[in-house]
Parts: sequence; structure tokens; C-alpha cells
Amino acid sequence: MSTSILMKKLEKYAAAHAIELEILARGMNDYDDVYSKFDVILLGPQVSYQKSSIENDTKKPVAVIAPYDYAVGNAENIFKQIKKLYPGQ
Amino acid sequence: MALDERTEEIAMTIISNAGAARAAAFDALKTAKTGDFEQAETLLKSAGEFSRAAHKTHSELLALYAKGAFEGGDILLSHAQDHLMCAALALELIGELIDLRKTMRQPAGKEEP
Repeated sequence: MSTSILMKKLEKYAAAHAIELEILARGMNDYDDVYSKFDVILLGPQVSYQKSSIENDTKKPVAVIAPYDYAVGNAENIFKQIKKLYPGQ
Repeated sequence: MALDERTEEIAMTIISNAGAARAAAFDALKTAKTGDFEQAETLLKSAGEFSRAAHKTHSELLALYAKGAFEGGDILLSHAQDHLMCAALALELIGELIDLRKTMRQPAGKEEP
């Protein structure tokens, strides 16, 4: 639920900066059917300990959002993380 | 800042800190499984710090409520409370589990009374 709030903030930032991308917020038990359609995976701080298992599962670049960035919805920092994970963009 | 923005920020701060606390606690448990109790202890400490931060924000919320600044009943705030409680329970139980592992590791005859 909180991740959906963050997702809206990220979408707003992307729209304001003319960045074209699709963002989806999913729970830990609910990503199997969608992850293959995405290039990068960001984890909320509450599931950071699952990072290596998700990397193994999905073979996608994975990063954990810092607690502070997550709390205040710091889209700028989060987009920096995305660029690091996916430099081709 | 409008009150609903303020309460949203409070909720998100609680969620992210409580979440980080829970994650660090589970990390500590994983580390203790490998026998690295020193690192597990460090992780538990960091979990405790995140948890304290979350509780501090929660207290701010209660202070706002006590002042009559808002009426409560916000679904995002109750979601935040859910995270907070999960983290508190994880911390407590994982602390005990790590202690248990430590005790089990002690060579025979050296158990504490």
C-alpha cells in the first residue's frame, strides 16, 4: 500500500521530467507474473533482506530504496538509483 | 504543510523505518545462522535504531492527536501501525532466537545455569 503511494510520486516525477517508463508496485508474493516485463526492480526498505533471493529468482538488476528516500518520496534520488541500475536508458 | 500531507509523511516515515528495522532484524537472524554472532549483533543494533526512529515519529503522531490537530481514522496511518507492530515483534523474537542459537553453540558442560 505505501509502495503504491511512492509509485504515484515516481510517476508524477517522470511525467514532469518527460521520462517515459512504466512503474508497477507489487507485494512480495505477487511479482512472479510481471517481473519479466520490467528492466529493473526496486525494493522497499522493509524487504531489503530479500534482495539476493529476488536477484537469483529474476536475474534482473535489483536495488533497495533508502528508508529516507522512501519515506519522503524523494523521486530524484530514486531515479538516480534507477539510472545506475539501467544505464542504457 | 497541510495536515493530510503531514500525516502522509508521518505514515511513510513510520513505514520506512519500521520496515528497515524488520529487514535488519531478519538479516541479523540470517547472519546468526552462519555463526557470525558479532555481525548479527551489529545488525540487531541497527534494527533497534530504525525501530526507535519509527517509534519517535509515532509519538509525534500521538502528540498531534492529543492536541486535537486531527481526528485519526486514516487508513494509511493504520497501515503504518501495522508495519510498526510487525517490526517490534520481529525484533523481540529475533533477539531471542539469536540468543537461543548462541546458547546452543556453547560446548557441552559450559551452559549457563
